[in-house]
Amino acid sequence: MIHEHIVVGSGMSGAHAAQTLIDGGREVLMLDAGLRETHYAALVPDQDFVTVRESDETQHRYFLGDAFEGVPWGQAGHTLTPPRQHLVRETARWLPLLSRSFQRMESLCYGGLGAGWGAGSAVYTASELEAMGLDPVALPDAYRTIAARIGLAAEVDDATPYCGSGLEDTQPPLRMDRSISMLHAKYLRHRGALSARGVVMGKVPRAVLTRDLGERRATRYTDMEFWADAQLAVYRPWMTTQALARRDGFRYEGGRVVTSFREQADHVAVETMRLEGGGSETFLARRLVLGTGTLGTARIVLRSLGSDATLPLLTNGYCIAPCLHLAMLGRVLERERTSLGQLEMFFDPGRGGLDVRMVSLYTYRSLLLFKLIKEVPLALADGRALMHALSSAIVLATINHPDHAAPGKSVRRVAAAEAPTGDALAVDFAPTAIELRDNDRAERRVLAALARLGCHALKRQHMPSGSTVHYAGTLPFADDGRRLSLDRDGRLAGTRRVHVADGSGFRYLPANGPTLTLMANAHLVAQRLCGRTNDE
Amino acid sequence: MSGARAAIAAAPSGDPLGEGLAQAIARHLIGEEALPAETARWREAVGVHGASLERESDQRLWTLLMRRPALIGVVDAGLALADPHSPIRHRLFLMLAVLEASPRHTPRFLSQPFSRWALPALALRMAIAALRSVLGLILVTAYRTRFR
Repeated sequence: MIHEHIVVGSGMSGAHAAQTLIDGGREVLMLDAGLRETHYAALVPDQDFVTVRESDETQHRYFLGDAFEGVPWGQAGHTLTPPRQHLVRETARWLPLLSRSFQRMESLCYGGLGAGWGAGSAVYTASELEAMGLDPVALPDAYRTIAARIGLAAEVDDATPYCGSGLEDTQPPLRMDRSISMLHAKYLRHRGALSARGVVMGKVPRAVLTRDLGERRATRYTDMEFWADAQLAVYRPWMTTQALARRDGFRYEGGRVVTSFREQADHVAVETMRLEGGGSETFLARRLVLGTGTLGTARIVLRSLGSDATLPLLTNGYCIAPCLHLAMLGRVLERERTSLGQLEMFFDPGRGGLDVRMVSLYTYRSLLLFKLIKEVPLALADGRALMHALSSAIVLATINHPDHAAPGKSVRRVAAAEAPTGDALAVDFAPTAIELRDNDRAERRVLAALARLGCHALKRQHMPSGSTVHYAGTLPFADDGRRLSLDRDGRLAGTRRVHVADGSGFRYLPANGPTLTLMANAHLVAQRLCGRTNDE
Repeated sequence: MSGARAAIAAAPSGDPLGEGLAQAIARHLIGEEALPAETARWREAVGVHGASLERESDQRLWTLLMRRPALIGVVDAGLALADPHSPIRHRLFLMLAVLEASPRHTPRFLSQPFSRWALPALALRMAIAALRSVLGLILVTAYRTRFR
């Protein structure tokens, strides 16, 4: 059987490409690994964090994990909570990646990396879209389409020109907690002086419901977003795939890793391997849409073309600065709050250029105190006493930098005999000295602005390259049809029937996360496919 | 006899993860005793995480803690500066995680409002903590040098 379209991957790109194709009356087979979390989901009570902490005798099972996999040790870094660790299950085996300078996260789970997304949904400016190689005329409508699908909480504020222009019919914004509200109030009193230094604050739109939408319920501010979401208030791409499964023309095949494709005269043959048992299976389609994420797509494309080329790679530089918000000393956070980012700061030294930095501000509670105490250079008992007193006043500022292509940032395919596919990706990632210098200067100026608001950085922790989980740029958009590039419709150069719907084509990566743009771009790729006949 | 002293007195000398030492660690970390289920969970965590003592200096330090649980705080403070990722600190950290993820000890971890007049007391405690760190650093360095 030859399918009309095969979409690979159920993450942000795959899910929204598939939905647009189905909305356009097309037939879609989605191929996906589709690993799911079944161990912890039923354990987490549908209660707020403080109530859970005070009353649930089994909380250690999901807070620490049955194999204590939620207790990090060693260098500071991100640790997935046990209910989210399925995101990276089997990736070391099936998606091997070799690097000394790059910390990747890829996923084979149902809904992809979107299952752990922080819900930030930035709209990019026209100049950013141009630099990425995207169509600044087409994207605004695509953003609105995606916003209507997933539900966005947003408001017009000082940050809107940087992250929320042109959205319509959004839901009311998320409430800020006591600490962030105080910071915001102080910002409003100093906005003139800060604005003169290129600093504005406001809220990035978030894919979190503050009003019911279909079967999903508005957030109840349980502060449990990192552990569970019984209301389905935070959008996850599996919700789209699950809804598509009820529609005519859509079929989902899980348990498979797509390894390669072969283009034939009138169809594409898509090779897969089964996660369990390892057997292979071939599927045929008139058109193939890859939505496996930048690194996953690079693997499939390089393998399919038998290429040993070195591809460019982009990822945002990232720094976490724990800050002490002096006005919160002695106060506590309210019971009902969100763990997600609540307020953003944009630093725009070039006034509208491509060097805007974004800082997300989080208050800290629901990831438990022991992870913070570990970083205090005192006895753990003294660290506990200190953090017990100060934790409500801790604000985590996560500083994201934009990224441009450079010679030292690349990925290639290498042989790996032990991998089921016989190969692996090798990543070299070395930002240039100028980038590091500019990032350092920007961080200092951002932290100086926060200090002016009474929020003083205790340290700067530079995270390894790749830890933002934003990857792009391996198959950059190009109008000249050069090898290993994409045209404006997402079609892979040198092929007639292979399209890429993820961030592989983005030539530039703005500081504020690309997730909404990934969905909008996937929608556009699929929309253009809907306008073609299968023989075009 | 206080709970901590009773627990220390009951420490079996031969078991490196014995109940008495576990209770002493809990007292050091949060000033409260752990439930038997919590200490059992800690032992399991040490095993699962593989927080084993490969170096002789770590083994000697752990033996010292078994014999003199009152030194846990000093050794912990010294390691925080000298070797923050040492397996001994790893073991203490695992107990901290186990204790936090238990409703019985929630008040020791969830913030409570306090008067700003309490800040000098906190500052004093941190000054004592710094002093303890210096003493610990000397002790740990001496062990490291002697049992390299």
